[in-house]
Amino acid sequence: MTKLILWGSVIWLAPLLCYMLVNETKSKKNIILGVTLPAEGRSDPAVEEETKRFRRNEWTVCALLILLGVLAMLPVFHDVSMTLWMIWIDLCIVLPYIPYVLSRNKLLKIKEERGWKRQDQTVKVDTAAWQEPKWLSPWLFVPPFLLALLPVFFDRGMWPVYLIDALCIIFFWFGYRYLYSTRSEMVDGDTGLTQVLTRIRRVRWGRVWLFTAYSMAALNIAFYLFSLNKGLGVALFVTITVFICVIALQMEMKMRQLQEKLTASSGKEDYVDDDEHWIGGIFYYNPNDRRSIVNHRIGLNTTVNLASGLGKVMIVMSIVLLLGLPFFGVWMDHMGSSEITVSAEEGEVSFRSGMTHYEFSKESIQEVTLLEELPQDLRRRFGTAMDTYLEGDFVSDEYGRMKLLLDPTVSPWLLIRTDEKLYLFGTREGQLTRDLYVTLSE
Amino acid sequence: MILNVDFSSDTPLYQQLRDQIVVGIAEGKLSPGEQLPTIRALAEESGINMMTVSKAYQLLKQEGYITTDRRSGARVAATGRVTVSDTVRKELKVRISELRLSGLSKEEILALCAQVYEEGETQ
Repeated sequence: MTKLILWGSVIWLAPLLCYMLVNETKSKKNIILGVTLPAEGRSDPAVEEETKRFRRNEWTVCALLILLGVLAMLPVFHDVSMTLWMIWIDLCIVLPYIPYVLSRNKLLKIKEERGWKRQDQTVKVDTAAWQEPKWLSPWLFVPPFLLALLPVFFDRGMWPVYLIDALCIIFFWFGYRYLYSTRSEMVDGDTGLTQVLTRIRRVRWGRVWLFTAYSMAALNIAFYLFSLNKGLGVALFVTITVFICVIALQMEMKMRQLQEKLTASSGKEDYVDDDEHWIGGIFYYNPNDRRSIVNHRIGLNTTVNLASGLGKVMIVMSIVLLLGLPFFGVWMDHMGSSEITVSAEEGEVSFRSGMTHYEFSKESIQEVTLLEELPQDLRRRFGTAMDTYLEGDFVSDEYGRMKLLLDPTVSPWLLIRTDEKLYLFGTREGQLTRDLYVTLSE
Repeated sequence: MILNVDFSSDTPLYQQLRDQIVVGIAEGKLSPGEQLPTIRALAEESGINMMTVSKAYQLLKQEGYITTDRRSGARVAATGRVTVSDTVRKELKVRISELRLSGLSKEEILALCAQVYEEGETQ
């Protein structure tokens, strides 16, 4: 079940990423596939042929990724499924960019041959287009902040989680305010166009962060409801997550549509061209630019200047994350099958698995029960929940909060009530658990 | 007005900004009282260090081309005679000497000056 949820959570990555890249074949701000082209260039047959080829190649990559995603779900890969999934996510991030970079290089070649490359490589600033940015008031982020804190009053035991989520909303305001470059969206010498493009981007940037803040508050409430009712909580989680994804995509695509529409007739005479600062059309590298955060050329997003200190840190972190994903998968697979050891010697009882360790004295045990079935409404608060491994802080209506360390596929399980806590344990061998029950019952 | 910042030029960046704003005012592309971007905004727009932009604005202010105000930022100064500084006089002397050494007569130099002046007026 866990694997199916994971599959459903990530399989759409491939078509989404490919779709976003294919969308770049439509000119926005005079840019096609990361290459700035004049108006005449955008309707050139060679350019059209290349964009057509790119679309074909991109959807082929997409089909290949989906096929690999389906294969990774086969039972034969059960023991290494997490590792495969993490490798698959890496492939999803990297593979769609291969046809993109190849086609971009071809378009750059066409651009050079046709003499469309602007000789004047100066940075242009339209003094008349500049407008003092009107930022959203930080007070607008207060209602979602308070909403996110609301569950604390009903579920005091989990206050750290709710508080961390609420604090994220404060960070969202900082993100809104400081992760945006206020540079004008200049595509040519048309001051009015520059102002409109700049304004719509800035307004939509604010909407995105405000929407994110309210989404976080909604997720916090869903998390609280999950502790009350598993079904309702999961349904709400899924609904909110799907809603967030759909709205985020819709915001990005709407922004792109506007950029496409507004700049459809641009680039007839002069046009802004900073292709040379975009490596592969993806990474911004400009040592002359003092800014660390820059806006993406199209859409709503921002990126970093790799020539800056922050940019270098970010790219190293991204590479480490990408390369680390498969290792994370190996660790998860290992955890799913890791041994759960138990010892009951010298008056101490201990359960151990990997870095998890629970220990208490025999004297503190008040009651030991052998369960042949796990509680149906077991809900995780903190910890790990995999098909073959449950560890951490869980809750059920029947027993309340308890610490778990068990394999849910191997019965029976030991419910141990001590002076302080309630534990639910189970080893990977049923007989071992039964033997321990006998020992502790004595 | 469009400012062009050339990072590969030998001319210092603050000088490029200062020169273009002066030319812009002379050619009427920047009108008296017109708001200029703040130092922070111009630095953000051009990717130049704020200190460099500040240097250009200070120079323009000293020369009387712009006025700065804590509230409204920088504005193009009202028209009026700006004192020709010693620096400008020295620069002019160097340029005229260069033209003389190029073989141009006084009349030809004056005609060239008139031509460049009129080009600015017709912009």
